[in-house]
Amino acid sequence: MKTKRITAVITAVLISMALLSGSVFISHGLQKKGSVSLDYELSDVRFYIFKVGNITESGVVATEPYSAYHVDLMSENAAYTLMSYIERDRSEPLRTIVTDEGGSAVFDDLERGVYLITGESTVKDDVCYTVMPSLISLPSADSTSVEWHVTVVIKYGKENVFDRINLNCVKIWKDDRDTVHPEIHVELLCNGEEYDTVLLNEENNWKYSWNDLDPNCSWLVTEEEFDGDYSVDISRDQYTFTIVNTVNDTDEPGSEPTSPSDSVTSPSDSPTAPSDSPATPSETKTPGTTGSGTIPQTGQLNWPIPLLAGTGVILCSVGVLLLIKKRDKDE
Amino acid sequence: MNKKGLIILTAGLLCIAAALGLFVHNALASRHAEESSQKITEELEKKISEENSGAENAFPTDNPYREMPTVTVEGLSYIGILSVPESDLTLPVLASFDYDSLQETPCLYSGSIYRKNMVIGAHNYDSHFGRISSLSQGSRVIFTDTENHRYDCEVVSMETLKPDQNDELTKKFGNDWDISLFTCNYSGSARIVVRCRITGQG
Repeated sequence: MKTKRITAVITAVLISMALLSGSVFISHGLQKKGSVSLDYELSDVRFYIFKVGNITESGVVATEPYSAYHVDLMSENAAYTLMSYIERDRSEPLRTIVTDEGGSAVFDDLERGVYLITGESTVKDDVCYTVMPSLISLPSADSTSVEWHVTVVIKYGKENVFDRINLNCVKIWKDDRDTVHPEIHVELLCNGEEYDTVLLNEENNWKYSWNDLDPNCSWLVTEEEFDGDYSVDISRDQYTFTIVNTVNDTDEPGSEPTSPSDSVTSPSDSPTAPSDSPATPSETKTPGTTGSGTIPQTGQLNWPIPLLAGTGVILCSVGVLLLIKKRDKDE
Repeated sequence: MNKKGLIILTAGLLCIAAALGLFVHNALASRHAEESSQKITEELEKKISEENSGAENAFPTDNPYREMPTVTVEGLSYIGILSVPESDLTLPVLASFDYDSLQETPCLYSGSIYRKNMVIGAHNYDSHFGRISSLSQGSRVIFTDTENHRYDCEVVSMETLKPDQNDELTKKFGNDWDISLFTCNYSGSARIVVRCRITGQG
């Protein structure tokens, strides 16, 4: 968690610098072009590049049609989330390229922007290699320079194709618990084709499991878009997909300065783990009627028992004494 | 006949009868709570086992925004099972808090195990939280959620709060505890709170 926070801070600094440099370039009207070089494990693998964002003076703004997916390009799993929707909608890439014998490929002549790079899954020696998507800012910037020629080491996952797999999906609402959440349809995609659609709701605890699935498929999930001011973030951790819907701030979306320069987003990272900063209305689940008043009474009415018993014994004793006294007097 | 003596004797007998009646009522309520909890726990354990066979620990627990999953038993939703080995207690924990339900089982009062600020309240029946005041630092407490994630905890502190210290009870951040258990003291004038810290998760 600490590492993530440090990474976030560093990324934020880089983003600011990239934007600053971007602003300078924009103000000077410079129209430079750049390139993205890929370094992958395997040769003859097809890669795709999509321009998903424009870098403006106010920040990164998602381009059409990707803006419709409600993906926060600043989020940790933006690349994976975007890839899932792009696969579902079969969106046309900006360009396609195939890695050479050394596993290299270059997308050149690229203008300023934020790019998503995805690649096809391949099977070699009974092992399925799944490309992890990357989100790249062009230019990328560090503390000393602005770089228009970026090299990306493509991450990948490996899976034995003999083993049938089980996949789980869990949906998390990152907002006020009291909000009534709509039921959500979640699609399981096999190589971009719809394999199954399930309904997630409170009744099933917003989760579902698919069993005995073909390991040769590239499995992804997407959720059906719904009305509401939410952003969506999809991640995968081994065999579990996590879909997080976050209620958007009142600030204009995309207004934050951003440039995922050298942040190569990978779905192999753990699901978004929000910082433990104390600032969310969903923070407290206070069922019942005891929000901030008094702590409820959870005790039995025990205290009168010894009091009543003691009083009773005393009264009985006094009564008996009086009766005895009276009887003696009468006699 | 001494009328005065007779009246005092009768009043005394009535007091003793009232004390006896209250004692029997409380004992029956406690017994009922014990039986209800036992029955629900058995059913809950069965369901948790069934629903999680083959998918052990498949769902994430590291996202604090995640709602606690529930399992329904007899029309009510439960978030898990609480065990206190030292007191020989194994109790279901209801997902919502209300006084009627409290007579049957402990209830989630606030927070979440994923946020590490979960507060559970229960009656001070012997079969519920009536003996938690006898726990001490280091005593073990175990919570198992409905996805069979087990949280091993140990008692780190004990507090006595006034009824109006609700904010202190449900403090959400900067806690040195992850789970709190509370119940009333014998007189009902204060709340006994046991703070626990997670020491292991499985």
